[in-house]
Amino acid sequence: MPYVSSNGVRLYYEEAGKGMPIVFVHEFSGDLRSWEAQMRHFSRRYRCVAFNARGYPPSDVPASPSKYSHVIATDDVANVMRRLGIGKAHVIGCSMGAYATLQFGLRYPRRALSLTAIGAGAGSDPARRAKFLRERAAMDRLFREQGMKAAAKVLQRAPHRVQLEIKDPRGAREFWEHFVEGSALGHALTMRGIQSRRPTLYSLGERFARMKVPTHIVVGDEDDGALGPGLFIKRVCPAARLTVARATGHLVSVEEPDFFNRITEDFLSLVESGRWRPRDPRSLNPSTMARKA
Amino acid sequence: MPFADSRGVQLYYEEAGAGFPIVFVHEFAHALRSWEPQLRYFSRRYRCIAFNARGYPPSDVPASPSQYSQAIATDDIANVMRHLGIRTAHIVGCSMGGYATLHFGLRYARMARSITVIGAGYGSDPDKRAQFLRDTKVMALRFQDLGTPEAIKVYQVGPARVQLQNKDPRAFQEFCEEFAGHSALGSANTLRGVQAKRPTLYSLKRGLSRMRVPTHILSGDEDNNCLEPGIFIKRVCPAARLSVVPGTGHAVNVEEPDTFNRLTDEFFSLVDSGRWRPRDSRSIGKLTTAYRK
Repeated sequence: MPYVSSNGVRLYYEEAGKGMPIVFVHEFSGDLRSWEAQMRHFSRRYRCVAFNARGYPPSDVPASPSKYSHVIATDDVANVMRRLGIGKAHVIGCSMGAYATLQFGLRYPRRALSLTAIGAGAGSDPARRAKFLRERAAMDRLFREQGMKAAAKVLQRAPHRVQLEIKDPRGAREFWEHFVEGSALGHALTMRGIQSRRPTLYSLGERFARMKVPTHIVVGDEDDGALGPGLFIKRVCPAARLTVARATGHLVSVEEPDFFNRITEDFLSLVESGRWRPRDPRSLNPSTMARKA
Repeated sequence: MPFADSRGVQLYYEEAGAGFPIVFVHEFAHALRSWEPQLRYFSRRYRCIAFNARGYPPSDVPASPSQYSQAIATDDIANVMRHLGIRTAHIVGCSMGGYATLHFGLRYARMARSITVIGAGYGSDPDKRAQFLRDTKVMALRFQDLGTPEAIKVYQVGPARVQLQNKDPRAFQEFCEEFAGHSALGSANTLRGVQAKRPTLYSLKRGLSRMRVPTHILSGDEDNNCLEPGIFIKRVCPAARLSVVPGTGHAVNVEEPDTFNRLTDEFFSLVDSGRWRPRDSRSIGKLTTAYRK
């Protein structure tokens, strides 16, 4: 099985196709298999690389909590690229992986051709921050004490995850079958080290305002925790464009693979043809009808 | 030329195709011509009707501002349908026409199989309400004093119009030429009677929370005045789904006809096949992971 080493931790990856590279970064409740529909589509024209985060077997599951953080998760993306000899790539991430993708754009802008961030922002809303942290702590305990199956039962009912079950029961069954194969320890440590400790997206506004990497933010219209942060990034970052997918929850790429592949294909084509442009400053005129404000 | 009578005012309309009807309701800066890509696409499978609002020749241009209002604009849709013997239709409206479409869903629910609302929300934001009213007043005076071609020079490059200029100069050119031909009196009366006096979207909360007509809200991600209203409708109305289109301003159907037609076609198919469903109540939980102690 192919692995790369990132600061002594072995990360499992898969590759498909040839051409310009795309690196896929999965979310908390998925693993690289969540990108199957994208690997099959984009490998026709791209070199697709997907890897399992630390804590997700066959990648190593370090036992120490200090081995998990949003900084380390971002470095892991860079290290996977380095080991595979990839200088620059389109980076595509979902949720936790979207957060790492955005951080990658902030910290490694020269190595990102573009960023696609799906469903980023959980835990950012200040009004719900305390509740978010309480829930994470409770989930951390649940993983440790009762294991993956018990955690799956809870996560499946989350308001931004029921959409998959409603619209694609076959996809949902596969998704949760994969989930319960994961490591309870890895999930508990990820929950504690990354989800509960990362800075909120709102606190990164000034850095996003300066970031120049072409960015596509993708959010489901029923993913309540990610809608506000998505709008926020669109407004502070001139390099960002926003898609909201209708009647869709957290995992846009899993729930609506055709739609996601289509809008991503459009975005990547724009960037690669050199025709992508940041937001026109005239569109930020606060007047409602272009009278000088 | 075909006209429908609406309380003594003659409204010009065009028809294309056969099948279940779709009625298109245009925005302030456009007339029925703006639906050309939709008429050509949907007429293959639907009976498409587009009409010019009162104040937009060849429709009559009543001289009195009292002949223009949100309620009258909504009734005009119903009267065009009655004239054509149409009992129920998909209604599709943009901006000002989006407002009328939304009101149609609230007041004529039995005549709407679905409603599609593009770029609605101008004048709804409480923080910008005063400015919107000032802008509207100034624009009405400009139409009255300067005539249409001069009056629209600032408007046509407004913050949510420059996107069309940047991405599709040919369509932008056509938009400006058509707009310059609008009646100055009709435009001034529309601004004063419809735009300045219509209730904000937020004030429709009660009605929207009870409305059952399948609803699709669309907004461009750079159409600042429509983003929060769109999310508001999505959240209060279980019948609503929301699409936000990337790198796009106000008139999504004009700027991105392919994307718009595709999204709308999918929405109609879902409704026509009887498989459309309102939002699942489980997706409206307050918890972010569904964890309960």
